Amino acid sequence: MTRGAYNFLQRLGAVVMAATMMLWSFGASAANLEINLKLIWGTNDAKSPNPKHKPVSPELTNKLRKIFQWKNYFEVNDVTGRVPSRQSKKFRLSDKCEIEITEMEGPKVEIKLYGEGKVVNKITKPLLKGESVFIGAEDKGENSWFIMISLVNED
Amino acid sequence: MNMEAQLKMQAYLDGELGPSEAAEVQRLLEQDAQARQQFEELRAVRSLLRDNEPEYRLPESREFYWSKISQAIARAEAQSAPGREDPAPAWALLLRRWLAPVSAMAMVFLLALAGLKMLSPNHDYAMMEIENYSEDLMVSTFRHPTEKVVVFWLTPKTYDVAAKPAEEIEQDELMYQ
Repeated sequence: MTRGAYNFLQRLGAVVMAATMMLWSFGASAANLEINLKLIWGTNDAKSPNPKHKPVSPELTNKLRKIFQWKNYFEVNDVTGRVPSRQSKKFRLSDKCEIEITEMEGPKVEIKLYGEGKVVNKITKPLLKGESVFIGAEDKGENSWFIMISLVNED
Repeated sequence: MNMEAQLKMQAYLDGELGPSEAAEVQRLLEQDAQARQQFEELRAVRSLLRDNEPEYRLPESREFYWSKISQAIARAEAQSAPGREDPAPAWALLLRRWLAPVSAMAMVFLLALAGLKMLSPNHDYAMMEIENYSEDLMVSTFRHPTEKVVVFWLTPKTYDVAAKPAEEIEQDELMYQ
């Protein structure tokens, strides 16, 4: 190996190691998350059975119509809260439904769905800004409910 | 007077000729007035140069002066010669010689692997874990390709997917786990 090639490899090694350390520290960095959760009712009916439910925004309706089969979508609850770094926070969306979110190394979040106080399932995944996670199910008849989880901000 | 005779005359003046050649020049000077005149001129020039040449004396001996130059050259050569300048211990040299290139190659490989994984369309799925605690429900997952949405859909275990009309489930947007 020539001295020039050896020097080049030495420098490359130093640069790559530094970049890897930066990427690793970035990837493992902790963050406080601001999360928005919406409990949404999907139906083909023109109105929600509960008059307190208001229709979701037209933009969100269009988005949901591209994903799901229902015509109309009503907001049952809308909650925004902060999940501190490496900690958990529980969000109550209805009498029966709660979501617990934990900020984890990765960066990932752990999302626990509680139904009537019991853990139904647990999802662990990266939560990216601009991406939404939906957890839902069909309800009686031709209706459905789902929880839309979005990352609003992180610091 | 030819050039050879002139040079011999100069050499005679400098005491560089042998006895026979010196006698020859002496004869020439006795016989030739022009040669004698030229010889006197040469002698005068030599005398002028010798008397008026400024004399410089080195502040140190010639040997010491040259030994300093010689040592400076040796130092410069040692600095530019590969491998001589590094007083680092052997383990450090070994580390620098092999660890840096090997780690560079390993890191490039790992970064390429990570890049490929990140670019993979199923990257989210690879990073995702689902644990279902319900005995009555199963979880299906799909990601919408353009709306940046990941859906976890809970269905009763008795739910018959095949019974649903085809238009209700777009298979190309649905990835069951």
